[in-house]
Order: sequence, then C-alpha cells, then structure tokens
Amino acid sequence: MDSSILRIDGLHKQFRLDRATTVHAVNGVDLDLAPREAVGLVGESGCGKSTTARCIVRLEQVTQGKIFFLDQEITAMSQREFRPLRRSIQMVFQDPIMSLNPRLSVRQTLREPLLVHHLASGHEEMNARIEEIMSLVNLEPSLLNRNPRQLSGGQRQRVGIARALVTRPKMVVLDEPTSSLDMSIRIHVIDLLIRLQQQLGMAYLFISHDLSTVRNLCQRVLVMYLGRVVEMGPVEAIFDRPLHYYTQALLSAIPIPDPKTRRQRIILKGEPPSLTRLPPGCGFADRCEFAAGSCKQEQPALYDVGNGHQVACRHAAGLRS
Amino acid sequence: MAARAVDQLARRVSGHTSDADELLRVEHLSISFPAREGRVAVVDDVSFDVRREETVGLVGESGSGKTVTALAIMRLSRSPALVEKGQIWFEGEDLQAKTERLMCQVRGRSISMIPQTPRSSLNPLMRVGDQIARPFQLHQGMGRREARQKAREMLRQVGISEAQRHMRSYPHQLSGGMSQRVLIAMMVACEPKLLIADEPTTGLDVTIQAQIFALIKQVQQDRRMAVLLITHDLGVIAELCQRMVVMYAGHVMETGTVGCVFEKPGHPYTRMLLHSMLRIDRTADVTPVGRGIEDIAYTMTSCRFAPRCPSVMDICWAQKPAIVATEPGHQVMCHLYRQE
Repeated sequence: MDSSILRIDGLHKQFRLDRATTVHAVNGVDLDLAPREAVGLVGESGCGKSTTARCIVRLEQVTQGKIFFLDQEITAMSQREFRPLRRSIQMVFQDPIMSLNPRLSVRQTLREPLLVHHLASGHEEMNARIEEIMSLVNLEPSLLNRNPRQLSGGQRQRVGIARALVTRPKMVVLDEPTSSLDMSIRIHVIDLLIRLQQQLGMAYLFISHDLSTVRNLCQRVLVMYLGRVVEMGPVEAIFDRPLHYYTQALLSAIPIPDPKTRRQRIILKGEPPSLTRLPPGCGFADRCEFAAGSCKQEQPALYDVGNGHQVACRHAAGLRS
Repeated sequence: MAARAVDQLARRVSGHTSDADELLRVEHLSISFPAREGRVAVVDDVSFDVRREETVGLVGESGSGKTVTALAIMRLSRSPALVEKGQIWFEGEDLQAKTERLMCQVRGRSISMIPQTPRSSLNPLMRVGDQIARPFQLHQGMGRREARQKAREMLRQVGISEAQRHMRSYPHQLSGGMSQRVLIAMMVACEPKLLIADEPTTGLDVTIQAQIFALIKQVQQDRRMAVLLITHDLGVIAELCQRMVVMYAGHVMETGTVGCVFEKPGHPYTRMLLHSMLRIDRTADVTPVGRGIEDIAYTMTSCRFAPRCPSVMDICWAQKPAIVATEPGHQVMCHLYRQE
C-alpha cells in the first residue's frame, strides 16, 4: 500500500508493577517512517519515547497495536521469524559503556553481528567488512584490539554506531546517542551520523530530549507527552511555528547561546501527572494555559493543519484555521 | 604576577569596579591529583573574581576543573585532591588561612553551594522540614519551633505547594525538580552573599530546568546575592550571566563579559565551543572545527588545548601563553595574542 519502511498503528505499552499499579508508558502512538528519512522523537523523561523505540526493535513486547517493518507485521512474529529482519533494523543505545560487552574487544564486538546473520564468508571478508565499517565511523584500525574501557566516550559511541551499521541496516533507531558526550565531541558524532545517513541511505528514528540536535539532524519531528504524540510535522514547522502549548513551552525552555537573543519564556506550572493514573482527557490540561472544561474530559485527536503538521489540541488547531 | 598586573590594568581601563565591589577573588589556584606520572595539576594557576550581586558563569566540559575549583572555594577539597598553591579571598579575608571552625561559619552563612546531584545531597533519613530548619538553628541560633516556622516559609518561597505537607516528606518522596528546590531553600536560608551553583539542573528536564533557573534568578534578586554558576551549557551562560570564565583542562582560557566573549571569542577553544552549540532557532553548519580528542593532557606545561587546536603553532607546544587583555575586561590566554 505505501512506501513507508516502518509503520506503527495505535501502539500501547503498559508495565504491570503489581496487582494494583500499571504504568501506562505509551498510549496510542501512530508513526510512519519513509525510507531514507530521519525522524526525531522528542519529549521529556517519562513521555514514552524510549519505550516506543524499544518496542520497535522488539526489546519490549507491545501491549496493544501493530508495528509493520518493510510491510511485514513484526508484532505477531516469533523470534525465529523476526531474525532475518533484525539485520535491517538496528539500534544505537544511549550509554555506550553499558551497551558494549566489557569482555569483547572492538573487533569481537563488530564480528558478532556478522556471524549471527551469516554476512561474511571466511576470515578475509569478515576483516574487510570490519575495516570498512571502522573507517566509515572514523576509527583508527589500531583500536580494534582494545576493550571498551580503554576507549574514550566518543570512541565508544562510534563503536556502538559501527556495530549497528555493520549489518547494513535499512533503518536505525538511535536512543539519545549523544547525550553522554561533551559538547565539542557531540558535534563530531552528529556530523558523522548525518554523513552516514546520506552515504548509506538509511532511515533514522532519533530519540532525544536534545531538540537542537533534532533540528539539525532530522527532517520530521514528533513531540510526545505522557505516552502520546501531541504534535508532529516537518522540523521547520514545529520549531518555527509550534502550535501545541506544550511544544511552545518546551522550545521556549531551551536556552539559546546568544546573549542578544531575548525571548518570551513560558514557565510551566508543576510536573507531568503520574503514568499510573492517567487523566481521562488531555494529559496536558492541568498545566495548560488554555485548557477548557472539555479538555479534561475528552482525549483530543490529532488535527491536520496542512503540510503534514498535526497537533493534538482542538484550540491550537482552531487558532490556526 | 604579570597576569595580575594585566588584570588590574584591564580593570582600571574598564573602570567599572573598585575593590569594594569585589566579593570573591581566586588567585593562582592550583590543585593536584595523583596519577601514574606523579601528581598532576588538574587545576593549574586559575584566577578569577566575582563581584557583589553579580552572576559569573564558569563554563567548561568534563575534566576542565570547574567542580574541583568550586569545592576548593568552599574548602571542601578532600584527599586525594590537594591544593598546591594559590589564595582564595572572600570579602578581603583569605579563606585558606581560616581554621576549620571559622570555615564552618562561612559555609552556609556567607557562601553556599548547590551541588550537582540534589538527590544524593539530601539526608535520606531526615524529613525535609528538619533539613531546611538546620541552617537557621546552626547559623542564626534559632530554636526548633522558630526554625521550622522559617523552613515552612522557605519552602513556600521556592514554590513548593503544600509546604505544610512537604515539611514532613522524606527526600525519596520528592521528584528531582522538587529536591533541587528544597536544596535551594536550604542554601539560601541564611542569605549568603555568594551562591555557588554547580550544574544545578543536571538530570532535570528542560521545562524543569527553566523553573529552577527562574527560581535561582528570583532568590538572587530578592537577596542580592552573587552567583557563581558552573555549567557546560553556553545557552545558560548567555541567559543568566554577566561575566564568564572559560576553562579547559584546568586552565582558564578566556574571561570577559558575556557580551564580549560571545561576540568576539578570542580563544580557539571558546570559538570551538560556540560553534559546537547547536541552536533550536536555526539550522547550522555541523561540520566540526578542530580535533575531537577527549584525553586531556594534564601533564602538559604548555597550552593544554594545543593537541586539539585548529590554529596551533610551534610555540604552543613549548610554552604556556601569557594572559592578554584583548579589550577592556576581556582576557585570553593564547599565543595568538602574543605581544611582540
């Protein structure tokens, strides 16, 4: 039916803590990702962005909803059925030291996916693939025999990226890949990710709370709050003309490194409600300036305001049209 | 000494300060840690000052020595850190020369510090109300009842709703943002003249960060405090500070008013940092400048930025640059500004 590489329909994910408590982490997320597209999934802690990512790569079992990858429904597959697809959808994790096996050298780390997926026959081809990926991520071949703890933070994250890309995936899920790095190192990794995407033609789902990186890396962005998408659209539309009050507040909270830029800051009241007791209506209503009585009763749908820009707020959508 | 002379000259030229304005002066501070190569200077000959009611940003990345410097100001450096040399003047008194007993009266009363991790800085076994009441009891000799009264008042002032209920809360019952509010309440309780805030929003979300910075700004204005704000975020500096001190690998690379440094960054490191800061209000060129080396050469006695510097020259490997005033109130430590 479509040209999307990944499609998510009404994804829900709940975690049972005990008999009485359930955490509603993701509450109905729809997403379409085109080949070669970079989409940002942003929001603050507890908004469900990482859980969504983990559901996509099958690190979590979904509670409800369907995920299609390359037009096949992966939510219903067994591990064995999914295995051939696994090489096409890879993940880069937030904390490189926690996600690299401390007992494997860089070479062993990069060899593992090739062995599992039978992607190289013989030593020579294996080594050629490993050296190729090392040079792609700008790592010296001399680092191949080191262990993760003998590498710097930036080098570790490059190994994490190399491990994800060595199977030549069609899509990569990146979960806060730069948040553990210092500013002047971060830009090297961002530059690398942009170049690799263009060179290898992959789709990226980029999970981050760092909106300035998303602006520079992605074409489209989804803003999540309390397990739902509150606004989505092209990067320019969301950053330059945000419609949802939450998106506006989120953007205004980020300091701009320019003493000459003075902006109106929206300081939100309070903190998000608990994920164990979701409010019946709009999850943001308690903190929203414009909330009316109906907001607290009825869940707002995503309204299309044109050009792929959608917002889950009747008032914001109304203001626009 | 030459550095000091330049410093004073620059001040005389800029003309907007007198010694009466000066609150804190850190002079030639060096702090060492043991390493394989022997003791290495993790903070090396650091000098800067903070004036009354001013907000100064101390900016740098991991390992630049920001926190170590802050702890030394509070005289909280613990083994294996060792203050090798330097003076820390606060209101004209040398803090290094004070006895521990006298220093206890400085901490919390004259200088307070908001640490990086609010959660681990609160006593987990003590109710929030009792913790905030402590400084009133210790420094102002209040009785328990009066101190608790004041503590409740403080909780309200830092924007905690249901102050009465939260007086009885334990730290684990608070969110990260609320823990930080509680700490701020404790730290400004005795109206210190200087508040050191060490990355006070680490681990907090941006909307909560905005709340915390708005709060710090408000208590600063209400109580006419000076703030030394430690951060790696140039955006925070641009928004909150009047002057800034840029550190790299234990060296002060550049100091100046925020306006001057952002407009005419003198040091190649400052330029690199500014270039690396992506902005939400526009799409930028993300091509990195300079080399992305993370290992810091603390053993180097010349310029420690040389291994990464895009403008590196032969002399940079041989000799530590002098501090040069590029304009009034703006100083750079770099051989590019060598005076012939």
